[in-house]
Amino acid sequence: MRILDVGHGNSAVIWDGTTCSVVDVAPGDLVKSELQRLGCVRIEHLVVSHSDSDHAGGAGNVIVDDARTIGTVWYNADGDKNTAVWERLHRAIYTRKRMGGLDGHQAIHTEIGQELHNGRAWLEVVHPSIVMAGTGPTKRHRTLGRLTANTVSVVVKVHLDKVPAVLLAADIDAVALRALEEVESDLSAPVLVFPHHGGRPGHADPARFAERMTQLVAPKVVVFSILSGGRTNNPHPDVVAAVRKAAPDAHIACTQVSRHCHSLAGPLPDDHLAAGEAAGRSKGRCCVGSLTVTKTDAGLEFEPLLPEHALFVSQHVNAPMCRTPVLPMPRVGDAPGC
Amino acid sequence: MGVATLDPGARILVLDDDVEDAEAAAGTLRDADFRADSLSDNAAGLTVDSFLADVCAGYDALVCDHVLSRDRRFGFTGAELVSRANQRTDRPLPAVLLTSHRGTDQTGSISRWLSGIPAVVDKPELTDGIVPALDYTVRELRGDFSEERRCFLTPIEVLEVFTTGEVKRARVVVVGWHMQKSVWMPLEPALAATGLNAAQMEGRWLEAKVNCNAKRPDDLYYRDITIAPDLPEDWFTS
Repeated sequence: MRILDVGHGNSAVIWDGTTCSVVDVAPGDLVKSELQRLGCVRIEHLVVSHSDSDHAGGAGNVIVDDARTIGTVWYNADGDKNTAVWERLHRAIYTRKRMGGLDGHQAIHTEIGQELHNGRAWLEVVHPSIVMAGTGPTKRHRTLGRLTANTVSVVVKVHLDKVPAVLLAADIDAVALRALEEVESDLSAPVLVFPHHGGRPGHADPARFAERMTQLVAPKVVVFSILSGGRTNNPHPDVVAAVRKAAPDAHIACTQVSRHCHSLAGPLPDDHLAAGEAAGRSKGRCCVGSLTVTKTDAGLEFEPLLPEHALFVSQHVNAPMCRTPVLPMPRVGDAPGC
Repeated sequence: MGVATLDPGARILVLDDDVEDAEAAAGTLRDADFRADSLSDNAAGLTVDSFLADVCAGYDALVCDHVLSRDRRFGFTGAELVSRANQRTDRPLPAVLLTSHRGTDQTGSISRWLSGIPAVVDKPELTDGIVPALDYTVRELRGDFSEERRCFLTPIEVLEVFTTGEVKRARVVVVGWHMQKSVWMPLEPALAATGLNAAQMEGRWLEAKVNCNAKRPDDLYYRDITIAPDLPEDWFTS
């Protein structure tokens, strides 16, 4: 599978042969290019974790493009947000259904009663529960309290060849994490795509959230899918520090180089990157870029090779949060995530 | 009828109301071993259809500047002529549009004809661009579309309508191109296809075949425009 560098947003493509599944489609060409590169002729499952543009904004193109057929589009209603993007997504699905080449669309939660398989890959739906999905974002739930679009965003654990591989944590916040803990969900996975791009987890303390999240997943690799620079200026230094505290040996990899780590404007080298596209490549802003995770007999393999990424960081990034001692203090330009 | 490859010796007509530009383009084509003639007026005042039937008869391809009214009135634009040439049902005539007006107001007058214009060449890039543009045009007329010209059905949300100015246009969101960015869509083809008037168009959902993988919004074209059906009632209640 491939965790794509889409800038600020999330997208992942899981494939086996020419059949693919896609979790989230950020705006831009990255997912489309990846599907073309793979020769994908069918998307078995297209999961849209929630209604935010950085996760759903590119889905329209993928849905209506008749270059490939689609099995099921999985997404939940968001009556609270009711964004233009969400209405346009509905329209795209309806157009494609009538045009043909789309089997159906369904709500997605932990009790959908079927398993999402893509060849030898299994997309395990870890969150939201049927109650949360059914409720959707709301300011006041009787027992759960305030649920945002982030709270109810869909978390998928990708198993490759029956082995847990990657937890795609969308934008879940502390409320969602508490709910997951209460039902004792098994979040463990070797790779964690950190929620909300390493930004603030709602109103909760980012360090405590990040530490607990990391403890529950126990990852060997933590990915922050971010835009270099940008308004959100992710990942939050307190989040990175807490991740390192909870998983000192984990390899931390941002898709693009964070401004907290590297304030110099010049382009960074890209010869360590994996083949294929990465949003930060043309501007020389990639850190790990797009990360490919492959299950082999020897276990999970990564491209770029993690030692090569580590070497790139040590040689070219002037103050990497993933390496240097981090003092958790506010920095200039911090802004809440979106 | 199939469209033949443009082999060396193929006859190409270059139409540009600027005599020097017309001859320069023809010279470039001659250097590429084509037999090229240049023409800079429509002295007989022919309509588009008559021009294609009479003047273009005997040619294997057409290269035409967009603005054809500097000194003499043609009565049509290059974009219309090129589009109609490529879409001629009995025998498509491969035609390439030249322009020095990309990114200007003239873009609007080109956009309504883009469906029938496989290739547009900026005049400053004519020397290197014209032969590949002709080759691509022939390929598209044979059904071999580039990724950026391949079209598929998409919903289109009409946000605003503007009926003043040289070209009536609508600000729309082409969902299959980008779910958040609005683009300018020529209005008249949509009005003609749907039977709606401009006032009825605002807020409407349309569907059309659009080349949604185009990189630039100015390159989008629209075919088979219809009013989109309403979403099923149960989509709102379930």
